[in-house]
Amino acid sequence: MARYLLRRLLAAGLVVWGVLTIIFLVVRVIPGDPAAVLLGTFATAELVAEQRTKMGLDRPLATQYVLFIRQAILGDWGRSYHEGRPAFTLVIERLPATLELAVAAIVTTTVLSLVLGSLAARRAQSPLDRAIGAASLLGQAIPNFWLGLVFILVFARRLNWLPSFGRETVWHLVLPTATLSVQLIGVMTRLIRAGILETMGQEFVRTARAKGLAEGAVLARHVYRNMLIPVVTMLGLQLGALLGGVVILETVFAWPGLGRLIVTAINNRDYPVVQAAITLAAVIVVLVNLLVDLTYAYLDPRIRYE
Amino acid sequence: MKGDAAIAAASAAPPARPARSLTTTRKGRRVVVTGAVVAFAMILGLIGPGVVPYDPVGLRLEARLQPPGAVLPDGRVAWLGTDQLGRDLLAQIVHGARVSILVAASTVAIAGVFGTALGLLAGYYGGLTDTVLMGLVDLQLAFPPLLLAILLAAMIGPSVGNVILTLSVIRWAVFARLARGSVLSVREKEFVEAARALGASNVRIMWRHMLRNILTPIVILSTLQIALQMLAEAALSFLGLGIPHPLPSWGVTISQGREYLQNAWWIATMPGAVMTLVVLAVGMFGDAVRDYLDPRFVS
Repeated sequence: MARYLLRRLLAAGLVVWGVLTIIFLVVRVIPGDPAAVLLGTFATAELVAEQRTKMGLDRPLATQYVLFIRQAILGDWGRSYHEGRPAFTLVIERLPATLELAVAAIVTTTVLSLVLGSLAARRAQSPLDRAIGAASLLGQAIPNFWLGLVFILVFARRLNWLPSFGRETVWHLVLPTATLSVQLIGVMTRLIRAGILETMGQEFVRTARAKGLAEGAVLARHVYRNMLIPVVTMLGLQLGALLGGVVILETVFAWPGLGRLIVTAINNRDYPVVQAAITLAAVIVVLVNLLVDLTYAYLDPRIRYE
Repeated sequence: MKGDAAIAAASAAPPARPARSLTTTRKGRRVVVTGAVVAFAMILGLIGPGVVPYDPVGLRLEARLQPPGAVLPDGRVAWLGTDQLGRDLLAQIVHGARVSILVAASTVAIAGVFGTALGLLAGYYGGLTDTVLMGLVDLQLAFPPLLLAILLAAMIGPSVGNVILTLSVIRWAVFARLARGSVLSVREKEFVEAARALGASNVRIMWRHMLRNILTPIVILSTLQIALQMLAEAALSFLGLGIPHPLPSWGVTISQGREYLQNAWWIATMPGAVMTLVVLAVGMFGDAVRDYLDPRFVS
């Protein structure tokens, strides 16, 4: 286990380094001068040159890169052009709101897709299975920002049941969570259904049945336990998509999280904040996937010895 | 040189597949039906803009915020209503379809060609090429795609070309990984060995023998990716990072409709509803193609 752990940690470290490099390349190498952008249209050439020196943009690219990596590791992303406060602090302040939304969506997705996926698999090829299948496809096809607006229109504006903007009470969490979960439930339900059907066809399930085990026990002890590992992995892999969804939905629901911060920062051309927020989000995704890997290596010894 | 192709064809023939027909099997018919719906949407999106007039900058205040089915002052019927500037929503949706289809198809083509080529190289040569390329693939896949797209789009600014570039960048890795996996499964087959024994060059083996044998999964993946790209384009445009004004785009129209949710619900809802139907049709077509082409996949 120790060797496996070390190898996975090393790999995750490399990926984080790669992610930082991509961000550096996108921000620094793409045409366009951050200093000129920061100062606006009316800046003189002298002012821009001075700003470039202040931001370290006049140094060789390699030096800039080393400085960039060092600052990233130290959590020093510079100050927000807009608010003057450290970018990293701004980002960290917004993190709990985004995590709250993400966790709510993951819990909702897991529960509902397990129920729907099991129902569909147990009654494979029945009308119920087909209905669930069609609904999952529909869930994946709906643009989530549009669904969010429809939910606001119906449940907030017309029916007046739920609040649509902000993050104050637990009721504010309902509409964003529902919107965010719809697409994920579509993906996960199909996977869980396929996973159950595949596991049910395995020899060990036949053996379990043949030795007279009750159907419920076969399902609980053999089918679900074996199917959960790929399901948890997929859920981990969906996290990237989930975060993408969060960025957009936070804008729709005026949810004060990381996503809304990114969009506002982009509109204000507040690049230190954009960089810090996107880096943090990407690093979180890498770390969660590492955690998922380690958890199932712990649960399933076969994986460790690959 | 026909010889090596003939040998390759003979040894590559798959072991007795069930007869495939588009009209007599259930899977075949599903491909035809869903394909027809997609083709209809495509034709509408490509030809429609020539038939339905739409002036993106035209301002007709007397016709603004009309509900669906309303008769406009000039006698025309706004079947899906008009927006805050008096522009017909149906026309806007038809013109938006062209942009959406164009972006989705071109980005899948670009990402598909590049990704497949790199995956082919990695799988064929192995060794250091493979390690480096697959390291890049893993890195790309670890970065949340929409976040990367948002970062890229924010840096290079909104334009149709930039949206195509951005969305191609976030998708190549999926194709590379699939192509590499498929190449590994055919690399040691007899027909490759036969081609090599006959003196075929590496390029010829990759192009004539491997690519043709791994094309099926690539085609399936492409169809499924088109739906994802349509959603991604709309999301970027919704955030103001995609298709710039005054080009019509579903995402932009929906975003503008946000302001009028209270008194003109149709502006935001109509384009999204149409989009859902199109994406759903493309997704179902992708599933149908997969079920039809891939005999191993049993649904």
